Amino acid sequence: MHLRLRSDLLLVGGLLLALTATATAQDGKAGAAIDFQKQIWPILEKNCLKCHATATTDENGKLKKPKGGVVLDSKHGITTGKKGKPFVVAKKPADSPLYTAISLPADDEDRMPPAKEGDPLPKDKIELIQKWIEQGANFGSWTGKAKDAAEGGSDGKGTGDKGSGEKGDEKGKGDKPKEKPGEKPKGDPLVRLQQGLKPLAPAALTAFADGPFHVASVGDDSPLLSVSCAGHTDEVTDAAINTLLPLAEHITELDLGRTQVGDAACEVIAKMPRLTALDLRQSQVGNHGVKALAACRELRSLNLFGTKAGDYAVATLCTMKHLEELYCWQTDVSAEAVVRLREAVPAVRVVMAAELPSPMTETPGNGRRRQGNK
Amino acid sequence: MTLHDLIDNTDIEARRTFLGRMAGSLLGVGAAAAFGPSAIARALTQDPGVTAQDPGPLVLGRATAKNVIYLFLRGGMSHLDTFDPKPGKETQGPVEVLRTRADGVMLGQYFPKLAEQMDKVCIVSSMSSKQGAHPQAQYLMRTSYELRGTIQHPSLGAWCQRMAGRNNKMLPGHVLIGGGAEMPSAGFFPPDFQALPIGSAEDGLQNASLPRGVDNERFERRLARLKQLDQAFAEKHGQRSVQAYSKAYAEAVRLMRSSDLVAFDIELESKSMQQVYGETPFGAGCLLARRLVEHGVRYVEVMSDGWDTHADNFDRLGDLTPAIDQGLSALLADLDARGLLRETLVVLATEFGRTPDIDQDQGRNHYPKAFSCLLAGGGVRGGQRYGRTDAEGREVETEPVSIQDFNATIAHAVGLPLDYVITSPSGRPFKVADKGSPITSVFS
Repeated sequence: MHLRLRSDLLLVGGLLLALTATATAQDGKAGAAIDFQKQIWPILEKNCLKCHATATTDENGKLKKPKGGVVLDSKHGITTGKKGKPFVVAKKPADSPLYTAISLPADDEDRMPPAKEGDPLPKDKIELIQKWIEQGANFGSWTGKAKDAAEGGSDGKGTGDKGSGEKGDEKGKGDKPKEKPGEKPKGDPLVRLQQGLKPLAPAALTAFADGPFHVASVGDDSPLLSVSCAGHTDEVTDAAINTLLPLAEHITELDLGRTQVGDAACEVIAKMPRLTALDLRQSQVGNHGVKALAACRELRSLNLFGTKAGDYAVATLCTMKHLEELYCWQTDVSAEAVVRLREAVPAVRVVMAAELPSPMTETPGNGRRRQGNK
Repeated sequence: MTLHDLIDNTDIEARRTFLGRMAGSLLGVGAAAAFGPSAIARALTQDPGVTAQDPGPLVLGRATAKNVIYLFLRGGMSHLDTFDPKPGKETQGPVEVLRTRADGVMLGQYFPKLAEQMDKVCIVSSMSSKQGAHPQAQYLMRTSYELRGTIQHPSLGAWCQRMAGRNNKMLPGHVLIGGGAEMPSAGFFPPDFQALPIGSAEDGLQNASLPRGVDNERFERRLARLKQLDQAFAEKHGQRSVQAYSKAYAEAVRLMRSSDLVAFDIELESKSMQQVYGETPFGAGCLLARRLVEHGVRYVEVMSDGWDTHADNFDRLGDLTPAIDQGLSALLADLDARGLLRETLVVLATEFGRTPDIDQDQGRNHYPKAFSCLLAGGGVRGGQRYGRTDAEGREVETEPVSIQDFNATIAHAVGLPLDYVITSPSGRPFKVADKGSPITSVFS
């Protein structure tokens, strides 16, 4: 699915152009301003809409789509255009397909309306459109057909209130494609895990501001928390982990890498039912600690890099059906134990060693020191 | 003329700006303590009725990456000879093509080691811009905005620190390895958001230990004396630039005493690990970047110079690429084995591509119309190529990616809200990636 919102950007661009246009028209530099709704719209309505109206369903339930995807009955349609090109570019009739298409010679096959649909537009109408574009293609308060729900946005209320209209558009449908329906990966465990989970009171979180832990939402205002302690790894011991207990229901990511925690901490971690990612790299955790983690039924990713974990630890992980990643480089875990884990949990990716490139034997040409910066 | 005279002779505003910036860049460490846990608290207590000017509480999106390692090849890397080869075409020149571990993804002959890591990498081969001059294009790439005389835009690293805060408050929010002072950094953000510049990764952080003959007690006395001297001035002039000065001192001292200071010392890595990264400035930069990310620095940039191959393109690439092949391959493999690649987005970028036509000097010239960048880790699905150029590598055929789109993709991975407006001191609104839209389909 192609999710990029180029057309929305163009819409914003179009609105900006329209805004500039208003300014110009108001400055009075462009002579008598052409009123889109009174002068231009009737031309489009009469000559173009038979084929280029927003898709509708007729009485027989048959869907009537705009020809060539060209929609001219809404400001959105005109300013969004097609394939990234708006149908009108303010002040540039030559770059505006709405003008160029109607001004082609009568025998040109791209001329609009097509020969079989009707005669070319009268010259004065073409010039009027040209002039309107030269003046800045100002739509006034006209927005035309409201956009359908799928497109969202804040059209329909007119653009009289330009500032907020623009902002609304930009904010409402701006640059966040991830909010588009169907985008979120199916079966995202966090979506399921946060259902019905009440966010913690702000006070419960601010209590951590001075401690060694960095506590943050996993994002999008989710009640689920991500906890790390970079910068305070020396202070994070088995005892310190106990202070996380009030957050146990909410923690879904816990990074205890390079801390002092050992097996006892895992007993506390085991009380975190929504934990999906646990980083214990280069901590003091060993086999018995890992065994306790089997209680974390939702765990997806477990990092044991550089710990004392061994085959016994891996054996205890065989019951964790959700496990997706296990990191055990620089541990005592053997290949045989990993084979058994893969039999029990086929989907798991186990990283046992770094596939490092062979060392560089000779220094290449640019190994020499750079001589300052340009 | 001494520096002192120079400072004295400038007008007072410029002098303050200069001093403020300098305070920021001395160690570049700033307090983004306003973020982190308290940001959530703020978000939770904030009155929902926000005004039009106020962009409202900053709510971060779901991040797929905690950290970013941004590798930048200055000068414009040829796309045809590296990541977007066109075997059999005249524009390919003498460069052979390599198959990689990723099905259907091919590389130029210069990257035999990276070929083994391509299952982790997404090539974005449909980059396209209109900016073909080095300073302007580099600036655009790293700030998403056009270079202007009237304003300095913040780099993506500064945005990241400003919006997402620091993971490790003892260490700088972002670090720039091998970059010069002309690099966009904090821009119009306060000096706290300046990158910490590391001139050479091999040398690490300079001046971070006590001078010989100065013990802790003596150092304390000196600091106390300094504070005493500064106090009256600081009370009289409460400006942000003045505060930045003392803040930078305080942070520098904290860093000097932090156990995380070791993050800056790649000599603590085994000799063999240093060789695996390649003992080149770039390789050492990658190794330092890995150490910094391990210690909770969110955003690390490593610069590599000399890619402006107007003449002898192919020989020059033969000299330039081994350090990149080695350093990047080591970085990807090492991060992955440590379980850090899943939360670290590795980016390889350049300011533009080079002409498909090879000129009489066996050179290729500036070509912004089509070029390639790489994304790996941090939730990006490896082993894929996003976007296509035509048969000769001249035009982007499908899924064009603007520089703003590319930066929006990085920001999206870190969970930065793309529509959040931060206003410059001059009152103009800016967003992290201007109007770019992220390429969401590269994420798994």
